[in-house]
Amino acid sequence: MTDKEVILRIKNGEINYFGILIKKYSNFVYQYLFLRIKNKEDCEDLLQEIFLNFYKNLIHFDENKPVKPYLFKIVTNQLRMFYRKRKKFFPLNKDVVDEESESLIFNFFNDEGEIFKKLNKKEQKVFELLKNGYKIKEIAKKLKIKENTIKSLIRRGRKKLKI
Amino acid sequence: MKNLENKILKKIYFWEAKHLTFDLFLKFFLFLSSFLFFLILGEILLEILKEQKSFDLLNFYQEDFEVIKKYFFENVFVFWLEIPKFLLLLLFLTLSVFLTIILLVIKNFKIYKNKINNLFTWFLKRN
Repeated sequence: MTDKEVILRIKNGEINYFGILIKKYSNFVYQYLFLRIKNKEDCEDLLQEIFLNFYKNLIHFDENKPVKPYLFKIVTNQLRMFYRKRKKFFPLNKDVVDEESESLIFNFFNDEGEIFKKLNKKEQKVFELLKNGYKIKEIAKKLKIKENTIKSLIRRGRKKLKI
Repeated sequence: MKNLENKILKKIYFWEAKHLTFDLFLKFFLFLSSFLFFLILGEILLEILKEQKSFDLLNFYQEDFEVIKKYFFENVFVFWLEIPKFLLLLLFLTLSVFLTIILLVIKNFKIYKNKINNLFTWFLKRN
């Protein structure tokens, strides 16, 4: 049975035919995922998500086109989302730098030395005030800079310090 | 790998079951509500026309052919002026929703039937 016939049958409501597609492509997708992620559990979760997405979008899929490139597109999108989710980040509260990131910044300042020198003078000033317990509003008042500018300075500084 | 394939299929069947139930319920709800609305609006419209005695205009069709020919458009225009237009518009809207749902269900009937069959056999196999 060709892919086209299988897809036509699935579109016709015969869901059980999706098993044929799973059998045919799951190995290839799994190996591709495992090469990138190297974690069995994550690979299995992603594989399930990929095939579920493939099934959901099958109505819009043109059965005359090959399946592999379409599936591969879903795989890359899912991988991108997976990496984005896994990316480390520390949330910054609207008004106040939360306790967690504050303590992280504090630890950096306590380490002293070379890391601190990565920041420019403005950023250093802002981080110094943050370390002393000032809130963004207070820093903005003290340095006579807009709150949004302070936030961008902090964001840029954190990027440089990788925190 | 076999186990994983079964897991994927299970996820798909569950998603499809949820999706299909929601879809059918929505269609059933729309079908019933549009039908009820159609009946209620039709009844109100008839009552209004009866009260206005607009149906008396229909007696005109019992006249001679020559008279009908002469005053036909005038008569239709008077009837049009008397009819509550907003209510009529609502009536047509509900009727169109009602007919669209029927057409959609007829068009996709085979798909629904196959899906329900597949889901039932799979769930029975599992148990």
